[in-house]
Amino acid sequence: MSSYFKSSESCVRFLMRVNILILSLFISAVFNPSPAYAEVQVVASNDLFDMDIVDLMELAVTTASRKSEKLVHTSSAVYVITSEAIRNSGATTIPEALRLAPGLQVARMGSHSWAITSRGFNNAYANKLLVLIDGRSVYTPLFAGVYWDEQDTLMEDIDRIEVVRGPGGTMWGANAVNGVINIITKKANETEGTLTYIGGGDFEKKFAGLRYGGKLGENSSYRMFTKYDDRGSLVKNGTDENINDDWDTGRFGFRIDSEPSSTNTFMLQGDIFKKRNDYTSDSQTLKYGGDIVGNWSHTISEKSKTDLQFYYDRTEMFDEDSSRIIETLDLDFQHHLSAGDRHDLSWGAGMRNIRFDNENTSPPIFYDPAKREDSLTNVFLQDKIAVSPGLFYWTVGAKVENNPYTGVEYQPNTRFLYTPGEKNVFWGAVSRATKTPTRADMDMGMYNSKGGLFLVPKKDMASEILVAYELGHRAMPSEKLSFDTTIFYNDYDKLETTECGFAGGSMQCYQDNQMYGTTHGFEAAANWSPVHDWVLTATYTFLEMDMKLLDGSESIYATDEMEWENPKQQARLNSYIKLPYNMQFDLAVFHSAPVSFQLYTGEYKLAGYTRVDTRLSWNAGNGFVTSLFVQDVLNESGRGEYKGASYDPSTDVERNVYLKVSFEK
Amino acid sequence: MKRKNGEIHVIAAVISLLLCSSAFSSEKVFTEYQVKSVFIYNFAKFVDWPEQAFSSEASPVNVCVLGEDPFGNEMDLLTKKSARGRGFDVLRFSKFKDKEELKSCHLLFISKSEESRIGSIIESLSGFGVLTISDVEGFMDSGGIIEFTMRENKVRFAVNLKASEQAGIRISAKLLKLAEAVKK
Repeated sequence: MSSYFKSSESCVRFLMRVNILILSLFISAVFNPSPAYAEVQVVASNDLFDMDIVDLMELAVTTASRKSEKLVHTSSAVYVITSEAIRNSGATTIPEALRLAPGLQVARMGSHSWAITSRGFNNAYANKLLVLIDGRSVYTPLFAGVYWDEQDTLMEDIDRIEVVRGPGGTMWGANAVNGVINIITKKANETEGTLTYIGGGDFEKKFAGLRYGGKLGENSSYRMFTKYDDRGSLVKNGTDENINDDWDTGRFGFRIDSEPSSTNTFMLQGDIFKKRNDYTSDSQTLKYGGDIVGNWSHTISEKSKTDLQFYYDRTEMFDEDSSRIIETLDLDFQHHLSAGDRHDLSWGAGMRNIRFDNENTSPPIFYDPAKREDSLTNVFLQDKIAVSPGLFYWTVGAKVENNPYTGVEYQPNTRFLYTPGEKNVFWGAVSRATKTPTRADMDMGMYNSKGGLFLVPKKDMASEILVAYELGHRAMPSEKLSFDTTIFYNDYDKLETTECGFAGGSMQCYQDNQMYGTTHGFEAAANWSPVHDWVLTATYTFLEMDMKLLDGSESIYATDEMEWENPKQQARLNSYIKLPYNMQFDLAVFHSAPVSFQLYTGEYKLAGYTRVDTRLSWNAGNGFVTSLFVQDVLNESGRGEYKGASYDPSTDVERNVYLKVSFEK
Repeated sequence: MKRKNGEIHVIAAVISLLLCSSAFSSEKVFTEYQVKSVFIYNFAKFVDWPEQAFSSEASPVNVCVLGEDPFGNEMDLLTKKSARGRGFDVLRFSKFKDKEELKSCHLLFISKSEESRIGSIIESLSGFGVLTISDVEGFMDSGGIIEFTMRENKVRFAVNLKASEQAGIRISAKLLKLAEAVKK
């Protein structure tokens, strides 16, 4: 193993130890208080007018909805998961929080692995989604899927998760074929003070987190956080037998936001993590990683603004007989300007450098070449034209990207937005998006037991192409009621397949692009507050896939198998209700239609299921909140959500109970 | 009441005390727009309009709400109040039709429903002594004078001093000091 590994591993270990020390010191301080006095202010409604403006500024208020109004006027299918919704859901990980969005399929395959997709094609290696955390792309360039176990932050620091279904290739770039998940954390000046939590339960065995934030001079703020989670294992389908995928993970991070003048803002953030999971009862997998992101926003004039961003990201994986190191360096520039009264222009350029080190792979898998360095460049231009200001907008734009695998790819789109009156928004879009082949598609091979080739690396794969047609409507009949519906029709070509045949008496496979087909669907979300203190949200997703293979294809994966792996219907209802005595009760009911899988052991069916999550919380005042989460209440005996992550036919998700105490000041 | 330094012991003591006391005290919670309406009342106390903005010594301060009214009845409480010898009148305009009718406003709150038209509203009012206020993100950058923001459930505001000077409105130093940001 390289010397680099030893040094960075010990560095991460050291920092983790320091953080656990700070955390324990802090917790002991909280529970060993020294005397002081408290001030409780009770003010009647009309007396607000008598309050001094200085006191007024310290008054905490309730906000009916923190939905960004801008998103109502977006011509794409956007759903925003708010920080409150995340808190109420009890999600302790980003993938669990994604269950709140319509149009996504989120299935837990193992304790630390999820299959997540938008608008079909779900798989452990689902590869048509672009996932960003504060502008940093986190899908792995190795196979374009997401290692969800590596993606984490303090859940309380997440400001919102914007989920865009459908192509976002023009603005966001490669891999944004079926959707973009944009995780946005709070600015440092929104997290000043102290936050800490501690908790545990049966599956969420134990966890703790700490954040501290403050001012750095007059114009800057910072925060630091650390967290630790220890989680149990899922069980083998229909049994009580653990599949030994227990894991624990620790993370440390910081963020600095600075606004030295009204025309310049700077942001710098970074984090490091360590993750350890059992693989079998006697072997482990270790992951280390870290990233640093910098951003400079500059306002040239009221009509012109630029953004410059860089990031560096490194992830390392080590198990008994293999390792993997991936480094990404990314630089991105964007310029928004209003030209005349009617044009809202955006253009930008970016470059990305990726280094892969797969020298130490576990047989029979190999990469040819074992090490590789890729450079990608892109430019984009988009214009939002106010055809009739305030009434009708037309957007047209394209991204051109140069990648080392297929060369130049074009991702154009055109969109409209029609706002007849205050209460209705109609939009539509036609876009073309591409999913370029990855290193795993092009360079990965496998030996068979005789030392011959089972999977032959194929060097001339093409990009998958999608042309998507979407129509959407948002209605806000009143302050208390809103609807959002979208229909789509997706036309795919050159989808990836694994073609297998017999060569010289043994089976040989290669990757190719021999599938095509269409999907169509309907997604709806509604928000209703029947009375003050009670909010209901409902979502519904319908998806139908129709895939076909080219004549002569010998794909090992039949098209109808893929069609059945995605539930045709999903529905969700969330209720948030404030109770007397500063209590809150949240309830979520989720239903998924059945799915089935063709495994080498035969067909494996998962019945449709209903999942009920509850949370009861008590706000003890002044920042102290105690919450009891009972997730999957009805699921006493366990059931699968998807086929298993490893070679087991399936894993079972079981009822999960945990308690969390948090304090914020 | 945010602690800037790690006064952990004090904080902890406050929590343990409040943990016992708060279970019995029913603290009144105010809505965002309830508080914002009182902010607008306070702004009137710290602002000097150009002389010609009022027809007489006794004429009231006109508070206008443009677009979908998020305040409900809260704003009407203002009519029972006075600031610096003047009473308040509350006027509501569902849509931006005629800039002339808005010029009688001293304080103009522009609702989020008007977001797409903000540029043209501000442009048509420039130089007429109207203190424009909104919680639309980027309002100040579009030439608005006071922009509300929410920080951790608390109401904050920023002031565009250049725009207020163009409107001939003088904002007191005390208010500027409380502003989260002042754009010069």
